[in-house]
Amino acid sequence: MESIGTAAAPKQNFFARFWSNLKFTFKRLWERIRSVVMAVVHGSLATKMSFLFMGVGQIMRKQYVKGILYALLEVLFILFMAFFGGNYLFKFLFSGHLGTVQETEQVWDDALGQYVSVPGENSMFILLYGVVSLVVLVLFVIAWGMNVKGSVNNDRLLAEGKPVNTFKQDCALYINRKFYVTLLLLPLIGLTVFTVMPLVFMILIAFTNYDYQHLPPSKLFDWVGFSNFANLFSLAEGTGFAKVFLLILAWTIVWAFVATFSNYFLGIIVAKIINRPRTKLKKLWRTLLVIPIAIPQFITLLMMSKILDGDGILNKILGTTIYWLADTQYLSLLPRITIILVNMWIGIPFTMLMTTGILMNIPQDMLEAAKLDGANSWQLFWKIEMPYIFHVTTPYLITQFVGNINNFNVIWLLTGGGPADSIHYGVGNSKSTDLLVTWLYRMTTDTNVQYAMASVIGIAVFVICGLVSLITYNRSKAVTQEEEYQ
Amino acid sequence: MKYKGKQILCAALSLTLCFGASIGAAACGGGDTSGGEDVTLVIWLPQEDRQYAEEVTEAFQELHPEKNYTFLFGAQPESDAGTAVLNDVSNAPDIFCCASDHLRKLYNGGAINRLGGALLNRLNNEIDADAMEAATLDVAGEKQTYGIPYTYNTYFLFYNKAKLNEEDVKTVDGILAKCSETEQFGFPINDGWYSSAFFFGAGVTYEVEYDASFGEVKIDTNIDGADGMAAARAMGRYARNPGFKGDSNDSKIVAGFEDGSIIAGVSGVWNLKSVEAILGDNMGIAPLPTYTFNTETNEQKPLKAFAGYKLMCVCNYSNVKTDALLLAEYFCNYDNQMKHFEMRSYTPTNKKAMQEQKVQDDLCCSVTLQVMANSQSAASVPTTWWTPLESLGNALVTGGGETTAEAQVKAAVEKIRKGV
Repeated sequence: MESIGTAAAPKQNFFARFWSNLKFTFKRLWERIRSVVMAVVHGSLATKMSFLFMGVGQIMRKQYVKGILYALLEVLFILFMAFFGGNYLFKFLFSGHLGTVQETEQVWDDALGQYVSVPGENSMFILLYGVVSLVVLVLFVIAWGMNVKGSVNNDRLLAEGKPVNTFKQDCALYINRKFYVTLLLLPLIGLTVFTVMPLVFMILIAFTNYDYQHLPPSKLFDWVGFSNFANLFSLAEGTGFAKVFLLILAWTIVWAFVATFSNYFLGIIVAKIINRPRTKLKKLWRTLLVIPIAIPQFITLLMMSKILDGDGILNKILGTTIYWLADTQYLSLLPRITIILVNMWIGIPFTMLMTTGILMNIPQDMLEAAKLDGANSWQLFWKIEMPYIFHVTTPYLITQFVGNINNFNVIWLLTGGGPADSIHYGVGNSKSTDLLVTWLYRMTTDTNVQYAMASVIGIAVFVICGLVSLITYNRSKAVTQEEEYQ
Repeated sequence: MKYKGKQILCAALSLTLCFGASIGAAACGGGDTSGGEDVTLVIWLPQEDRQYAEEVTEAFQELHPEKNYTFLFGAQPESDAGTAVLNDVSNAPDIFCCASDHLRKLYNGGAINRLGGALLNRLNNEIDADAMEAATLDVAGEKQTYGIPYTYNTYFLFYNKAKLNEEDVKTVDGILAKCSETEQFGFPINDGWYSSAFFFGAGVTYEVEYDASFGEVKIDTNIDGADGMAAARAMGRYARNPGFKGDSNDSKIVAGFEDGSIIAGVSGVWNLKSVEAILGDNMGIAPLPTYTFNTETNEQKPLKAFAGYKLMCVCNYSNVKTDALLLAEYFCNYDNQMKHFEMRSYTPTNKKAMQEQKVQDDLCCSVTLQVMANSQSAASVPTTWWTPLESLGNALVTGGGETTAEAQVKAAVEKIRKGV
């Protein structure tokens, strides 16, 4: 990443930097397009031919292989659009609907002796292949641009009296000077196909009415604009999500905050205790604490949910019938606390291991100097060790916080989002310990699926996580005072 | 030369990166079958029915030697099948078993094939009319049948004859009188499917209005009326009784009979064989008991169970619909319903099978039919019904009493109602 904005204005905050970077990128893009267009207008016949038909200019310059490859690409693109993508792309971009022909009612077929229906259009395919075709179109435009630019370059080389590159020379270029392009090509394709396209598809679902009443292939779904987002903040009785969303958001934030910092500080304390010179059997303690990590998390969690059940071992031992994970009294306070405690049991060892390493790395001369000046151990911890640990681990804290916002495992495997209490549920069937992610998951697997609203909530989670990470990370000392410790 | 080696390494690494990304998407496939001689049929049914289904399909193959069938079984309990089918309709199994209360949703998702012609006539002749009614939807004034009912879907009382006699199990108070903290009465009060019995017994009703595509437009209920409140208070009272185990789901009831901590429990025929294996001759079954509706007058009201049917449905998107329809009908015919009865004690819906002496004499069948006779049809239960009742049950299980129950019902009714 080139960070021109940073160099120009180091004091700017993140958003201003982002904005200036964006402006710069667009300006550069525009200048490039302009220069190419000008070059074509003033260019040779070959360049003008390339502008119209890919590869022709290259063939005219005797770059046969390259020219044929470009021409082949154009033919493939035209075939793809004519027989497959064009139809979907048109419906997706211009028709304003995701299909108009719905599957018919089932009618009796005398010959077959059964009811049959005539299939209609499938909104899901229109959306999916629409996105795919759009990406293909964008890639094609880039290839076309490369083709034009190549011709313009050829013009320039000829004007300077130099020969144009042969195919061999071009290939050599991509394993030498432009080797980074060759390397990044495959990951780039992978990212586009397996990350960007599905993501765009999922985001677009938030703008449709894809739910249990509009399930393809038998029913069509359609664009509904921003109404799902309006619904998220609507208080309307029976359909508005605002109340439930805010309740769950509040618990998600509380959970993420408490879960992150309890693990963090208790982990540091445990590491400190084990690191004390007087502590015996250091290795044994560390090993014992690390055992929960060694077992797959979902197994420990499922085991915990059995242990903490109303009929679980814990109650048998204590001789009580406490519903550790199902008590709905006081806003389901007990399940919430239990979840945080179980999460501590799983999470503390990680922080402990990490801080043990950091504590061992603190320059001993600093500590000794402080001791000579008469600092007690408490002061050593708060004034030297803690700032040091905090500085090193801020990025870890941020990832932990975001990870906990999305901590599906702990919640789902311990309580399944439950217990149901009388304040939650309603729209989206939420339960008391649901995080936004478990709620989202339930919406997509429940009896009344609501894919569109689930997508909206997914976007909300993304925005929250994105904002939290960007703001805290950019304000953290690890970034702003990076050079101090180097 | 060294430089070149590094390049190759880099290229290999970037390749791996790419493959790593593609592995996730590589899992797919699915057997497309054409007509003709080779036919593959995918069937979803509960795990416990696997043995039964294998025997039935083997016999079916023998009946149709002109075709070469391959049967693929998927384990899916009837209660979840509807949801699972709707999650991916185009790849749904050819035949699946589901609870009749999912019928509207499956119709709405276009998942089920309508039955008609000679097949429907045969079914109407052979199968109990009430059961056929439960597989039928009223679409714009037209009766449309979408599944084949093969057994009843309801619940009754299991009890340990060594601890309770036939007189005890007539009332909840009678049962609880013999129960203690170590020998409990298991009633899953935190599951709306069961706890609703208190309300329906008291005369609580609900009413749902659907639009053309069976979306719920209006839901109303009188659960917060005087009867509903009295039923809720009774639930609260029982929940506080140390002999009453309110969170006893299916597996806890079986486990409870096993270790003796439960001496009576409410569950369904799906647990019959497991409980029988534990209690042997001491296993008793009975219709649901009555409960004390009003403590002052000692007025008793019956527990009125939710009742539905289990249906065998054919997917509308099956490419081998003709064979699927044949097999579904075969599964639900007289012979195979008798087989199901013998193997799993499932009460048949086939009229002739119901008349069989064996079936008539069977206690489980007669109890099932008695429960059915006084039950609440699960056909058009509002989708908003379940979670509020689960919440009510949770509050009672975790120590709430009569006042909690009343407050919970008042909260629940707001969530159940829609468009009123």
